[in-house]
Amino acid sequence: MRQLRSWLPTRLTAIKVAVFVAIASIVLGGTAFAAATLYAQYGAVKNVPNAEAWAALEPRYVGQAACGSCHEPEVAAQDASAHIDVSCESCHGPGAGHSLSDEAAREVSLTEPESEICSTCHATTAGRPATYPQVEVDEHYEGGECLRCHDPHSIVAVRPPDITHPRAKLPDCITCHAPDGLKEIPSGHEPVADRVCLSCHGRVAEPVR
Amino acid sequence: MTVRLGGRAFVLDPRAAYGTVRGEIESMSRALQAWLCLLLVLMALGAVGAIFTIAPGTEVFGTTPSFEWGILISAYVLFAITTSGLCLGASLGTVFGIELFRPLEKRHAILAVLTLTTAFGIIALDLHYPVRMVFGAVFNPSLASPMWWMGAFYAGYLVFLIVEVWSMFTGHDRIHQWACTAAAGMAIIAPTTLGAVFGVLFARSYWFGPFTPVTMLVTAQLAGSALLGIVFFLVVRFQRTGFERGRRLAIPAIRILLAVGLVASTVLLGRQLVDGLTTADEAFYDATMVLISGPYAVPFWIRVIAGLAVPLVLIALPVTRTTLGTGVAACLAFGGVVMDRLLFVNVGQVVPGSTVGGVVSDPYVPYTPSLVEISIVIGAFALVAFVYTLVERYADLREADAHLGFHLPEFIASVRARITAGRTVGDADGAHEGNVGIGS
Amino acid sequence: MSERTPLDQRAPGPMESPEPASPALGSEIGLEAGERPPGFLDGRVSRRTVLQAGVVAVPCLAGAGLVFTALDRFVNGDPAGAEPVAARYDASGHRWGFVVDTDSCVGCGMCVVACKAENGVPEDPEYSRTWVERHITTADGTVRVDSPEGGIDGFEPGDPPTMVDGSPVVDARFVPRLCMQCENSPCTAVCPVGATYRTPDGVILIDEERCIGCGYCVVACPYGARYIVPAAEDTPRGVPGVADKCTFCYHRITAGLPPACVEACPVGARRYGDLDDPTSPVSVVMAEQPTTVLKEELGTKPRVHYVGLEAEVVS
Repeated sequence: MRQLRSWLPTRLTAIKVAVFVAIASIVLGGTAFAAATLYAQYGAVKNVPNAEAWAALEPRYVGQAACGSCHEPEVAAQDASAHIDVSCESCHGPGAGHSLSDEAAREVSLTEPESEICSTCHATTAGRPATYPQVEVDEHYEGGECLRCHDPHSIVAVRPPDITHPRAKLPDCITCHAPDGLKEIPSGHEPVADRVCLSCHGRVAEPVR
Repeated sequence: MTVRLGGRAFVLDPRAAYGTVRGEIESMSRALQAWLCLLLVLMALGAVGAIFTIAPGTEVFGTTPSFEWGILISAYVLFAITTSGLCLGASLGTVFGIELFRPLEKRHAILAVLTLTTAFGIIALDLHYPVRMVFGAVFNPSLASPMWWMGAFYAGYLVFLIVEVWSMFTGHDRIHQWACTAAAGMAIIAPTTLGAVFGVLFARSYWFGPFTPVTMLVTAQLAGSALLGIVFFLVVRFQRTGFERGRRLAIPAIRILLAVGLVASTVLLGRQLVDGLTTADEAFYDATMVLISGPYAVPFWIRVIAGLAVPLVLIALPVTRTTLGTGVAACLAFGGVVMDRLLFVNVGQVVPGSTVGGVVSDPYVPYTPSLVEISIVIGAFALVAFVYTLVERYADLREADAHLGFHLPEFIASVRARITAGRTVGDADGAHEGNVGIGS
Repeated sequence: MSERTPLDQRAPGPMESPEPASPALGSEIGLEAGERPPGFLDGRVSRRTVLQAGVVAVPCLAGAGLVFTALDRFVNGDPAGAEPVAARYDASGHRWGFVVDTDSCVGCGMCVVACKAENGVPEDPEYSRTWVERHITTADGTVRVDSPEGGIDGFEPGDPPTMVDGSPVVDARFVPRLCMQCENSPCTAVCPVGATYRTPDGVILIDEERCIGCGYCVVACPYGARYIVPAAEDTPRGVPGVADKCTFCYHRITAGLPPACVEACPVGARRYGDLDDPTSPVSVVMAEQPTTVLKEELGTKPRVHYVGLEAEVVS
């Protein structure tokens, strides 16, 4: 026992040792803290949490399936058309926020595309594949209001009704139906050339007897 | 409390300080006052420019993703190679014991520290997050990156250089030898690695290749020698401390160093042009043509004629082998190096290697340095000139007469003696006692 | 020391220094060889001192260790507490690839719009993660490239030209561009602080908290895919001054969604999937049609493959 005591430090030494331990702990701890902080922020180990942070970002394009849960007719019409590969959000913009709830949907309304968006893809442009359907927009329909005839989802031109005209032998439509002409142009059409009338409307039918 | 500097006593006291500074300014000549004033204005300009760069990502530089490295990188490269060249030139005396180069010591070392810290300052302003660089380089060293190694070597170089200057002014001769030797080694490695930073980029044909590091090292030697030439010309012209020695030894020494740098640069430039004109690599050919006859032809030919040919002639002709001739040659050569590094960084990017982010550059990528970039570069030059002027005025620039150097043959003999004796001997002290410096 | 030996017999350790200081050191401080300089830890250290040192050192080290562990836990968080994306996604189980079909691209720019909207990429076209080029090749072999505003609004309508500068046009096509996610990537190699790295599934990402904005990766990229984020309102991660580029929409692919550009492409010119999965859209296309990569001669091994570019020189 006495031998053991002789091995232990004296009281003065013990105080010195205690102070030393305290200081050493502070220094070591501080260094460890700084090193741990900096390594956590700048070390290679950071790759995993950073990739996680990239992966945790919120998608903004929600995908066709999400749209179809509410807008079934449109999606069904599109799926039956040549636009089957076109995503709703290509034309309407990202759907995040819109699809969450009715309340949010009112707040986040999506883009209501105009006819211009059709020519973004379908106007004849150098570089497009030859087999891809393209039109000279103004030649196809002056003014380029695609949506007047085409349904944007099923695409097929919804043809205006055939005209039943009281007279059988007809000159060009525009002979009579023209601005300042004998007759008005029906239903607020802009002045259009004869052939354009017939490109949408069915051939003038025989008068009903 | 007083501090003694260059034989003058300065009192460290707020009230006295004002009087001291005022007294100092009044004791200066009109010309010196005007010179320092001008430099202060330019430094202020640089400081204003520097403030603009603080917020990361604000587009204050003229650079674009197609032309990401602007004149700040050119300036960094220039200062980084100049510091190495200064160290290389002067180490010939201390490290290799070539007597002719002895009197270059103190001024070179101070200038080397100055240009290196300026280079670091410029790169810190160019980086968006300079503090991250320090921590990132320590905690996630990227050993595949030449830029990491460049940083490591230049950091090491700075440490050795500081030790070198400290030991020089405090007379720690033995430490001085070792610091000089280590710094000289770093002065070779660091600019070569800086060359590798550009040389590994296979996306940039003009920079890519094994000769880029070689050219960088040679340009470093030329830049350092040229700057020393300018300084010693001024020392002799204005009869500053040690101008006698400067005229007798430094000027001829600089002439040799300049000649070596100019000839080597010319050879490497010729090689590059031949390579560029015969290469199958279209982008490299285009870049060469940009230099020879394209948008950069005027600065290029000015650099070739005024920066290489004329100084070579000035050094070669006996008529102009004077202090003035050497001074002019050094000025032209330094201007040539400035132009050369500007061309190097720009031409590497001016030929589009790819469209970048949909920006098609046809045929050349445009770049105009912004006012912020220009002011920072001007401020950097002014800073070096300002601090060096103060050093020239206040520091004790008398060279010690007898340096302890590694007198190479004796050093080798002492090592051999050590090996044969089989025991270590205190670094051949005796050998150096006979090695008395010149010019006492 | 692997073998246990009695304390007194073991070879002198570094602490004990029974030999005189080395002659070099001795002569350095002005001592003759053999004369022992007085110093710290001179002579043999007694057993008692060793034990005392042990009594002091053990709690000291243990305490420091505890402090370190506690601080590390405090700084890095409880490893068990974090809920990683790894729970729903195994990065090592995929090898993502991308196929761009230039035979079917119509240059509408929907992909560029979608990319900017999905990722908050700044509007200015010079900061683009993806863009669409038009390559018009003439018989003399020159390729003319245009990309108005990065193709974000599509291309100006008009009939295909038959002649350019007196040479007949032999080919005109749209070439969408994005980061190639190279297997042998120069950008990750040159980054001095390792801020750009490759994930196990092969996507190259940038840590916006470590990037220093030096621009080395921007000049190193042979495909012009990178840019430094400007201080704009909308930026990918809200950190200006750091490098950014296409991530294959990492947040989407790890959630089982295709990248936004693939989602938005109306003609299926962009395909995306696992190269290891033979039924993925990418593998199917690559099995059916010949594909090339851009700048193959550089050996960067891109993960983005092109259909319809027959070794065309892409500039």
